[in-house]
Amino acid sequence: MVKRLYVDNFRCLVNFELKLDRVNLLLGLNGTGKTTVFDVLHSLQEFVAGNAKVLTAFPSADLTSWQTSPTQRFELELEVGPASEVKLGPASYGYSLVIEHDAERRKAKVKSETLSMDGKTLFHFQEGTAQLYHDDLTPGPQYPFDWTQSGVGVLQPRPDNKKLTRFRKEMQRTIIVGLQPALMTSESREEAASLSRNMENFVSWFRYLSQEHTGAMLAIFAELKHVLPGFSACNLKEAGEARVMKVLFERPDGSGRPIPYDFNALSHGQRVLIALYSLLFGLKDEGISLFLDEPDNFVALREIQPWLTALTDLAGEGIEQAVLISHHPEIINYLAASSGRWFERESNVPARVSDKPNATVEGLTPAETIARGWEK
Amino acid sequence: MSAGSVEVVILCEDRQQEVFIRRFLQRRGRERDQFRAVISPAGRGSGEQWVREHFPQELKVHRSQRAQRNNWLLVATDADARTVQERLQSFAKVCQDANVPFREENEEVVFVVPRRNIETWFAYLRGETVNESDTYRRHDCENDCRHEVVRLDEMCRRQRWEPVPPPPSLATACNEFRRIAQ
Repeated sequence: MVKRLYVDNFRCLVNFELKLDRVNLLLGLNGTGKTTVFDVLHSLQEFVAGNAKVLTAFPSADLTSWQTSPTQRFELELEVGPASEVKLGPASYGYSLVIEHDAERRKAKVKSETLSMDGKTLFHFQEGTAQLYHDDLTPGPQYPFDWTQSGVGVLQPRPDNKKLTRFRKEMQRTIIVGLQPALMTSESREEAASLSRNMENFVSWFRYLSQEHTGAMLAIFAELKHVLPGFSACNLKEAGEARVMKVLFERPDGSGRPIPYDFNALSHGQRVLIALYSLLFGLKDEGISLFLDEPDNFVALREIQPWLTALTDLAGEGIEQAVLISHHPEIINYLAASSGRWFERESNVPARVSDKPNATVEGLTPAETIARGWEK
Repeated sequence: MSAGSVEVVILCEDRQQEVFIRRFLQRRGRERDQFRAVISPAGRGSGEQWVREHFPQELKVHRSQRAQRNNWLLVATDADARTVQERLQSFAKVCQDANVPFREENEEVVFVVPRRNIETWFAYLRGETVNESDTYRRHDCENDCRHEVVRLDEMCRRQRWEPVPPPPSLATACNEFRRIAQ
């Protein structure tokens, strides 16, 4: 679970700090930095757990445009529960990354990278030299290392670096997505263990779920039967070297075999509902953290709160953390008072966030207060 | 990013009232993003009671913001077969029942009460001779009131009614509009 994120010199985030709880709703006008927070986390994930080079994950174009400093700083505090498979108890990780850009030459290098657990250093890279520490906190090897990639990201799992590699696994367990149903294709060439930023590869990820988490399929289908009238199941039908996702709906009279529809033949809203419930129930015991950008898009008003309550019910009971961005009154009225993170920003100045609005108005819902601009 | 906060809350029976009033006030200098419409969900014909019942709450909200903002509460409701004064009295009564003081003198609360209804004003603004008892044709679409908005604006600027006399409820409303127009 992400407890704290600090960002300096990344788009509108300058000397920016965000603290998060188990359930969070990021609120604010467009351009106040909410999605940028997701982008930072996604870049960190790509860098630490996705083998991305520094300039791929953090292009110089993302330096804050009104600043001249070439240095970007990122800090991440991650809290993890006990992990019985590696015999490790709950822990608190601190990760920091400093990047120096040379925008003119289109180059960037890692100035320093540090990972600690419960305040004890596990890895430190500075000025081209990496220092590794064993799980028992004794110093390990010191070695020259590449300036352009994550030293935490490249280490192979070994019996004496479980603490370090566990951090990377936790980063992988964080799902950061927006839902773009028009970009989701029916076809899957291969399984995908992780979702792309806009869930274009949803069907490939679903295919992975169906192989690696077969028990979850029944849970997803059971939920979708409540949500999509006539829904029966989904399957992946062979089509040459690929597989195509079919969604089966019962016939109106309930007789005979269900009718298969190509996933892309469904409406955008139906595709999003399948994706949203798959996110909740596909990995619900895996301790994932979900960062969802406007999950209410394309979904009918009646469909929002049941999904939202399913999400919040699972938070802490299978889903480690939920962070939503939304402008929807249903979500705002449900979560703003208890879990709101209020983003603000004037033009060409840094974004700021607080855990309370500047004002509340007795007699108005949070959404109505925001609609009137009276929360400021 | 910064967006302006709402300065005029329009509590009204239907979208026709909201469109006409908002467009008129936009011509008188207010910006589109200054408005927030709170419209009866029942729509035309049964919105009067809804507006009246919601008025005390909106008045309380309005007053709670008075210290921080230059905000106005504009209430639009048809007089129907009643007089404008009787309609205002019904709002005063509902406030009394809710233990909320009614509009004070010079308070930023405006009542726009067309009699018989807003179509009476539209017919007048098209140049017809009208009375406040008969019913007049509705627009097929709320947006069709552009011409009437322009006519009212022109008359307000020239301070001359044409034809004379105007419907008394319109003349009364214009005194209210003067307070809120920028």
